[in-house]
Amino acid sequence: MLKKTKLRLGAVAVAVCTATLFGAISASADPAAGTFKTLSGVGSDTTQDLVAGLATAVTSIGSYDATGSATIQTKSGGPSFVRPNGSGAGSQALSDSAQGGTHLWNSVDVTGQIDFARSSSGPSGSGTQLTYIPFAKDAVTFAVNAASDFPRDIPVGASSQDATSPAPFTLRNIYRCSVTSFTDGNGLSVTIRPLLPQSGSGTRKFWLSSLGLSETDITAGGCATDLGNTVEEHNGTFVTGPGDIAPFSVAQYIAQGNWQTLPSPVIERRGGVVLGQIGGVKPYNITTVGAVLNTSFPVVRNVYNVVQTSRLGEAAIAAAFVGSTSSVCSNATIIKKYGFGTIGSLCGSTSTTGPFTQ
Amino acid sequence: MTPRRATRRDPLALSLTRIACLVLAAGSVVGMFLVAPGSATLARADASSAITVKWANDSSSASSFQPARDPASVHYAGFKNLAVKIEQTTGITNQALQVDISGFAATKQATDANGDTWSSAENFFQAMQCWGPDPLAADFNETCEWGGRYANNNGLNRSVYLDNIPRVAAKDIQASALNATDVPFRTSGGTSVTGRQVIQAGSSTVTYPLLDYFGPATTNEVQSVRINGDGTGVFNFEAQTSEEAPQLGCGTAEHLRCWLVLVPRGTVYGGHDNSCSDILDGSYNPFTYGRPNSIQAGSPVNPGCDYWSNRINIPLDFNATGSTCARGNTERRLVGSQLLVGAMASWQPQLCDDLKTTFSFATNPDSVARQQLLDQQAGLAFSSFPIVGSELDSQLGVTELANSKFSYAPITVTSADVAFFAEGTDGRVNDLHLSPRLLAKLLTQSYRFLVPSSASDDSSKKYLQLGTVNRTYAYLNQDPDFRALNPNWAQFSSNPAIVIPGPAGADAIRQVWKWIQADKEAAAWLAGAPDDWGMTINPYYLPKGDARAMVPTFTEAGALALDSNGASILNPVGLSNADSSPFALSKTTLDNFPKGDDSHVPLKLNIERYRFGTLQSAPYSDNFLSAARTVFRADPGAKTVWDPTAINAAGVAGDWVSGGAQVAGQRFMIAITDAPSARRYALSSAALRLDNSTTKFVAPTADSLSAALDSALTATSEPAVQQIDPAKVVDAGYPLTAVVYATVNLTGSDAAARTDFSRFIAQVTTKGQVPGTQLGELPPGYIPLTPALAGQAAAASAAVASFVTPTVPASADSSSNGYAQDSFTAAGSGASAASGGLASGSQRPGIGASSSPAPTASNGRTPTATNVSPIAQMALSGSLATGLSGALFAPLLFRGRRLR
Repeated sequence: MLKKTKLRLGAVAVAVCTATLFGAISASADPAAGTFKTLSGVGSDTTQDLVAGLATAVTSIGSYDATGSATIQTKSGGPSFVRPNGSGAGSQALSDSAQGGTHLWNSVDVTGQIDFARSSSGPSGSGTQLTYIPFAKDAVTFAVNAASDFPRDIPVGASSQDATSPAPFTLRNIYRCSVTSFTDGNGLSVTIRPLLPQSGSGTRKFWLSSLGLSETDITAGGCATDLGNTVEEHNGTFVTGPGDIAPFSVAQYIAQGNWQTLPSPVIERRGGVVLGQIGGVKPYNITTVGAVLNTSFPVVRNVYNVVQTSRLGEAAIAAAFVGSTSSVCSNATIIKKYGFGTIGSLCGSTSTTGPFTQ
Repeated sequence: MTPRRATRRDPLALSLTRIACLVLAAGSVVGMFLVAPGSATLARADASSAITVKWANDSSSASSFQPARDPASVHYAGFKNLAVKIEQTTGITNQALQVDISGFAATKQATDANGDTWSSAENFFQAMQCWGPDPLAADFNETCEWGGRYANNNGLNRSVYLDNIPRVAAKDIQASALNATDVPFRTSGGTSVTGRQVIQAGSSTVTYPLLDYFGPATTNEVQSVRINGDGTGVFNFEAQTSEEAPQLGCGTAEHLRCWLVLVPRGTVYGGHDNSCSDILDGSYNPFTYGRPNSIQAGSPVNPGCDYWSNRINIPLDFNATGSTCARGNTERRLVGSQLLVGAMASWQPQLCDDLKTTFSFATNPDSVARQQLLDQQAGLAFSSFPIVGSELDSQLGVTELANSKFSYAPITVTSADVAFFAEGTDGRVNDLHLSPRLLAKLLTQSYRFLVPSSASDDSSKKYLQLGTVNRTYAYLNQDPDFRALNPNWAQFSSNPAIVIPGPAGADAIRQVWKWIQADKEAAAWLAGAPDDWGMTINPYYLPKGDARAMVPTFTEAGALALDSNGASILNPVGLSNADSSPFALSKTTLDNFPKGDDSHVPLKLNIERYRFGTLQSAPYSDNFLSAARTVFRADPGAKTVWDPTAINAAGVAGDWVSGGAQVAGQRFMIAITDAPSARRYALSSAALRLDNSTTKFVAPTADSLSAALDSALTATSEPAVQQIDPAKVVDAGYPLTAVVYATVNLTGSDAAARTDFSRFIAQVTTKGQVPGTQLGELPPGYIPLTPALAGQAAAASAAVASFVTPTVPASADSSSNGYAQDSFTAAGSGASAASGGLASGSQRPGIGASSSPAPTASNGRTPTATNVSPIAQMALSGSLATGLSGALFAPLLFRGRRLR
């Protein structure tokens, strides 16, 4: 059980350099203004860079980042609409696009404007209108400020320890406010500020469920915050204080580190964070080709491209996404470059379905 | 560090969070404490109809209903020692039935090829209700309610594998599927409904027709009952009658017998091909039949899998539902106390048969019922306190009171109940001790988990209206005051959601406040004094004008508002009456529970469009019964999670939504309800500390209710009405006990009505006092009247029957008729008669001959001898439902009080 802290003074300098060198904002990965692709996708922050990278090889795909300009236009002559930010918003916008009629996306009729949604979590609820096609594997761990003495190896914890006193130093106990501080290298107590990505984010949903918590646990009497719904997924610049901790996609962390060598623009926004180990397991390994996701990490998930089930048979969609020989699935090299793991013959499977959102 | 089952990836948030899945991952016996049910009358089960059925070699009375078990089956080894016990199988109404499972193995979680972890993957139970006449018929599965949670937001998250939820295999559910196999549902009316999706003719709209019959909010199917390490499990199943589930029709003449069907799910995969499930293993190959250690994929009712043949069929004999009263009966409208809901539901059909009169019943707050009685909108009202002048709003009411005569008959004895449902990692906790001060803390939002808060706000700015000590308690069991009384709760650290009936009042709620106020330390704490550890009341609940009733204010940007000296700007708050005069909870006895905290969050609006307050984070429940049901379903209904994709009322994306039901194994709900409702939904009841005592804790049992009657029955201002004074309850008495009286307006009802009322009182206070779960009996949660109270009821019944309507104004002639209950002498009436002048017949002050208009009106009301033609027949169930809907509550909001 890790309670004590480690001096990480060396990390301070590293972190400062990182922030200085790579903090600059790069261009968005959206299709160039005025150009439109056959398949327009929106949604998850986690997979935005990977899908944009795949789009350099699979030219039918046009992927719009989760953040950037306030509105986007995805079809020639189509309406401008609010940029969907996150997995939940992506599925919602895709549902609105598919259903049309009274299903407006932020008051705009987006019928036919969206062809797929990026999602970092599977469906909630039961239904068949949307098909969740898995194409890669991601891991999620916690990120803390590199300059902080925040412990770097924390177990997930379990509800069976909820009543243990003193509360074990676990991620679950941090997010349920049973553990509220740690002692730094100077013997001073540092108050922990547990951060969550904005609501609707797939990573927030996945992180809470991995800790065995619900949104209700976070709300009633809770201490975790999304800072007014402003905490962006996989954006280390929100992790500012010595007591800050936030969930972070390992693949995103790797991809942002590789940003200079990737085929599509990736915004390095890790800030000064480092990733923690969970239960002694490293989230990624350093190999001759750089950092590679550790697929035996305890907290892993598949990521999906979501399409309308009734459109699975369309040639462009089938060629891009469906089956392990689809264009997306055959670009395993790109998937790994962006820090994700591959999932073999499961890639392109159409057996996971879910309902329209709303 | 990592426990056996709940490994670090245990996605508890994903586990069965569903209402009817009241799964009690009941722990090993260690840590479970049962409140002894005292004697049989408060115990909820009719022990005589309990049944235990073994999965193999059953010899129970239900053995002929069980499918044959084949020792060669791949499932046999896992199930051969299974047994289930159902506490009650006859006299079933809409209620919770406890099911105990033994001889099984611990529920396991497992991760599928997608990386999703399913918390109920192996070794669990599924339960559903079926109406088919023959449980061994090949098409019996078509009569079972299953598939209602195949919907958006079904609340199941990652508990059972996806294709457990519908009736058919995943490959078959889509309307476009080729060569699909259907598993239809057949209603008791004979309509066959497909278990698949369909495409509407002439459009491309896909629908799932089953949801027209039952859906996530209404179905009682249970996807997963978890099993503990010792192989036992316990859960409560909500039996539904034809009123809750017309598609099953249970309780109608054709279907008095329905079935509880339990399907065990073990560790062996029971599908031969994708007509059961298309689940893949780690190498992305399909599961094969008989595969061990497998996620239990496939629907329990789908014949493409073999799980259905492992089912256990339990016969359930329902009480007849609907109106059993003959059309054309005279209808008598009864109004009043919610405490009578359970008893009236049991008595009504019997009364129809015996008296040929339909007694419809609409609940409303006791005080409103008294006003209606006085206004002659009802002839008989149930309440726990007498009609007194001080409660009436107008001089007209006082005049009416002076000109009216009433008879009071004790009808039943029951109690308010601090009911709870607590389920921790080690199972259900049934033992909770509360002192008056602890309950006061919970009722006044004085813990940080009870005030509105949003994950959007920084924790440093949260809960600032509360005292500094209060803010340090993130969990209830961190309060030393709580820990001292509940040492066993050190093992339980979930926070409770408090479900409060309201905003309408009830006399039973007065008993709660009286109990709290009578306790010195609770009264002092309510008045603003800190407890021994420094915890103080939420300032919103202090009287307005109190120096401590101040809360910090915030700027629109979410920062603390500061004055020019840098000090926080404080805003005065507090409780006040409608005329702005302050009132103190330590002194004023309310008949409702105010929700006083007026803070709104988030402090700074970002993407959220508006803030929410207490009424949204802790909504009222309509009444005692619905409060108990809310706790049973473990869904507080707090809309505190901002969902940017939800469409709000204005049609714009972004709204506050519910965080959902509580997660299995981390449930804690407390309701203020009544004993019959708590028993009906199998809730635990808190043991309450007697006032100013330190060691005596009493739970509501038949014995403790009786003891309260013995020690604390106290005269009120009306000699015929004695009520438990919670302050006087001693020893083993339960302080929230309450006697309910039927009050008849003698002068305001005609002779025919009085005859019916008299017979009503006579029957329910004799035949209706036999404890039991059968129709006409006194349901669990009530105790029979004592001989003294029964004697008073008999006398009142006789007096009501023999009352002669005065032919001259009542106020001038009251002495000639005398007090309508003259054959009964209440204990202590001598002392109270002097103090309660307004209520006693012939000596009302201040209403002299000058009130001449009133007698005229009174004459006008004098009925003729002819029978009143029957009022339009109303089904009993309808009238009950009307009352429960709370429609009558609105006029009563905080009667003369408001919050600020």
